[in-house]
This record gives sequence, C-alpha cells and structure tokens, in this order.
Amino acid sequence: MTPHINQPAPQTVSWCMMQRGMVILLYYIVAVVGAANVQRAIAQELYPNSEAASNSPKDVLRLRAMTTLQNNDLFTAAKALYSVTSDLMLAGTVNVSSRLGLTASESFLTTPVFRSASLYGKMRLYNDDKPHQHLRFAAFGEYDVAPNGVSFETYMMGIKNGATLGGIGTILLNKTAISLTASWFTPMPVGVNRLQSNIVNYSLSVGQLVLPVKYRTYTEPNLNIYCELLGFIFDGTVHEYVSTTNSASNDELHSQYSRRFHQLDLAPSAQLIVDSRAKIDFTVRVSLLNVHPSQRGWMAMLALEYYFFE
Amino acid sequence: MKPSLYIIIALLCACLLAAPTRAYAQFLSATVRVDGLTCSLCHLGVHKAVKKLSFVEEAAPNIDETSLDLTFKKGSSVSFDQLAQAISNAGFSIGSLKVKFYFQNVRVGADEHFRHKGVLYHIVNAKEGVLNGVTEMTIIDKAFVAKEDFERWSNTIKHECYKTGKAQDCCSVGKSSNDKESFTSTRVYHITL
Repeated sequence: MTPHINQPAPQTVSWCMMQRGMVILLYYIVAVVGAANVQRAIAQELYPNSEAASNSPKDVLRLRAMTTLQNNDLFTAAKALYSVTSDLMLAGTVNVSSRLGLTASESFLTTPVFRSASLYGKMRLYNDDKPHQHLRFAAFGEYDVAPNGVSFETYMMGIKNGATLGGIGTILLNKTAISLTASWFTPMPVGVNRLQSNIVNYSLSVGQLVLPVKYRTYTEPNLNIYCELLGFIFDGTVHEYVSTTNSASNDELHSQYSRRFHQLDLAPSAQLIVDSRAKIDFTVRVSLLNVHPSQRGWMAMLALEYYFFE
Repeated sequence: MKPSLYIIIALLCACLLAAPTRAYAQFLSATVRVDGLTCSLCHLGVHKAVKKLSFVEEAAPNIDETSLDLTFKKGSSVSFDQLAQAISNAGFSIGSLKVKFYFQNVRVGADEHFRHKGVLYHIVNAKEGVLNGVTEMTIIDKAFVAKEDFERWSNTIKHECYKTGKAQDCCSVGKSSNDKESFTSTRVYHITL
C-alpha cells in the first residue's frame, strides 16, 4: 500500500471544560494557600504524576507499580528508583498493556504484552533549604524504547521511542508545594515508530497535606491531595499503519500526516502514606484541552510505592 | 602513727592540690533542626541516616518541628561533620545544632579554644571565666546553620579559621611553638555559649 497524505482532522477545543478546570484549579490553589495561612500546614511534593526536583535520601530504593485504565486498555508499569547520592537519582521502568472487557456481554482481560522500557536520571542542581520550606531545581534525562510502536495515546502512558531532556523547579511557598516541569521529547527511529514528532511537555503540580493536622509519629497515616496540570504540545508527523500480521514490524504504512496540537489534562489525586514508607496514589485524569482526533476520554490510575530505607 | 607517715600523707595531699586540674569535656546530647523537610517520609529518611552513625545512641524525632533530639554514646568520638554529611545525604540541610557538653574546669572567653578528642573548639562569644557542669552551646560553622545565619556570622567573625574550618595562626595566638604546630590544620568548630 502506498502511503498518502491525509488532511488533518478538524480541531475541536473543549473550551468550556478547560475554563471549568481552570476555575477548579484556581479555587484549589486559593483554598490551599488560605488554609496554609491559618494553620501550620505542611506541603507535600510526592506528586503522583510528576517528579519533584527533590530526591530520595542516598541509597534509598523505591519500587512503584502503576496501573492505568483508559477506555478498554489497561496499562501497567513497574518502576524502580534508586538514589545514588542525594543529588543523583536513577530509575528504570517496564510497561506492559492488556485489553480489558467489562460489559454486560463480555468480561475478559488479555495477557499483558510488553510495550516499552525506559531509563531515567535526575540531577539536583540547586538547593536552598529553610525551616519548613525549600527551593530546588533539577535537570533530568530519559531514554525510552518501545519496539512494537507507539501512538499519541501510548505516549501519555509513558510508552514512547526517544529521548527526553527537561528541567524541574520545586518551591514551598506559604507551606504549599508547587512544582513546574518542562521537557523536550525527540523521537528516535527504533522499531516501528509511529510518532515522528518532537513534543514539548509541561506540568504544574500543587500538593497539600490534609491529615494529620499535626505530625506526631512516623506510623500515623498521611492523607495528601494534589492537583496537576499536564500538558503536551505535539508538532510532527503521525504514521498510521495497517496491521497485516501479528508482528507490528510487518505492518504496512497506511497514511501519514503532519499535525500540531495541544493536549492539556487536569489530574486531581489523593494519596495515602502508610508507616512513612508505603504510598497509595489514586488519580483521575480529564482532558481540558484536547484537539487530538481520538478525543481521548478520562483515565484512572492506581499506584503503589514502597520505600526501602535500609 | 609515726611522724614519717604524717609527712608522706602531707606530701601526697600537697601534690594532689598542687597538680593542675585537668579539663574534661563530654558530649551528652544535641538537638538538630533540619531545614527543607516537608513530610514524615522525608523525616524518616533523615532519622534513618542519623541513627546509622556510630556515636548516636538515640535519635528522638520531632516531626512537626523537623528536628531530632540526639543522645550520644558515652565516651564515643562525636563527629559533627559526619552528622552534617548524613543529613546532607538524606537530601536536607542543618538549620541549627545545639549541643550539650559537660565541662570541668574549662577556661572560656571570647576567642578562647579548647581541644576535645583531637578537635579544636573556638569559642566565639562567652564571658571570661571557667566552666563547670553541663552547658549548651551552638555550633555556627557553615554546614550547621542556615545560609542567612552563616552570612551574618561571617560579617562578625573575621578569623580565617571560620572560612576554612581549619585552625589557622589566629587560633594559636599566645601559644607555645609546640602548641602552634599541633594547632595548624586541625579541624576547628566555632561555637557560641
């Protein structure tokens, strides 16, 4: 089949949803900052959907398992994070996915298929500590390999082919943790790469400790709430393939087209920390600004993470 | 009792009274405030790192105040540099460090020094006198105070040893030549009483 150039799909902007989301976020920030000013609240920067500029203590190993449901796809990731020093952290991730059917007529979960693996490194470059507050900057790099192809939807699940470089700034202001991240993704021609596009990623994350009101022991559970804005600016070429065999590498190129669009998600989260060692994150991700043809709906993520201090 | 025995006892007493009283200092405990901490999980990381230090007997956390109350092992060699390194490895900084010493006849005063287990302590400000008993002191070197406090102290303390953390000529003023040699390049902490 000869590749041909498709016309871009009409862009649909969910402005109402975006405005509603912005208002919710604004209310949230005002409420959090206000609460912090009337009580001795402490911020949290253990964001479920982004990394803060801080690192774990030296020699601490973190193991994280995440599962995300989007439409009928269940994406599962296992991640190991290790702090070589207090400034340098390395991480490795493996992603698998499976199909999930939960309707009246069918109920199934297919065998997970390997999707991608990645290596990540983060270096803390600047640190200014004060009582109950800090300002930190870090730089990070990531390399991802997805031999069986990627798409814009899988990109947002961390399944991609290419290199990412970025920076993070984290500040505690009036006892509220705010983190800004910006990064640049460059695709690499590995396997069947269906997303030949540079992507600008950005995020704004806000976190707040809700319980306990006053810390007493390490064993009492912590409840944190977070609100994150996750954005992607896509500028490149989408390759669409038609599957001819079971192997993705034998797929035929059906079409390709240049696209430039902006995806913006709102991701409110709740986080429970047990025994100061185990984290349970629950996130719902809703599109505020979505002009991608697939019109991706909401996503839900559940993650478990454990810190090994010894 | 024979007169010679009286003489021996009298001589022994005279020797004991005439002998210079030896200064004796002992680290007992410390309260370290850790800056930049925001969560119990981070606090636990600091706690674990400090507990691993060989000279720390107990480390009682005060999570809300982001501090640790440390008790030192009796007779151990306490290294404040190791303490600062442990907290730095955990990703945080010391905001203040108050230490309790047991003094016995130690001469103090502005710019006086005393030595304990091979380390020099430069007393920055204290009234002239001799200390006995438990006294709290604050270590004010770079790794043990907030950045703003270090800058403030740097404007006050002009000694080279405060910048380098190593004993300089300023630390051996009035000392004998042998003392001067032993002072040079020794680790020196600066303290206030």
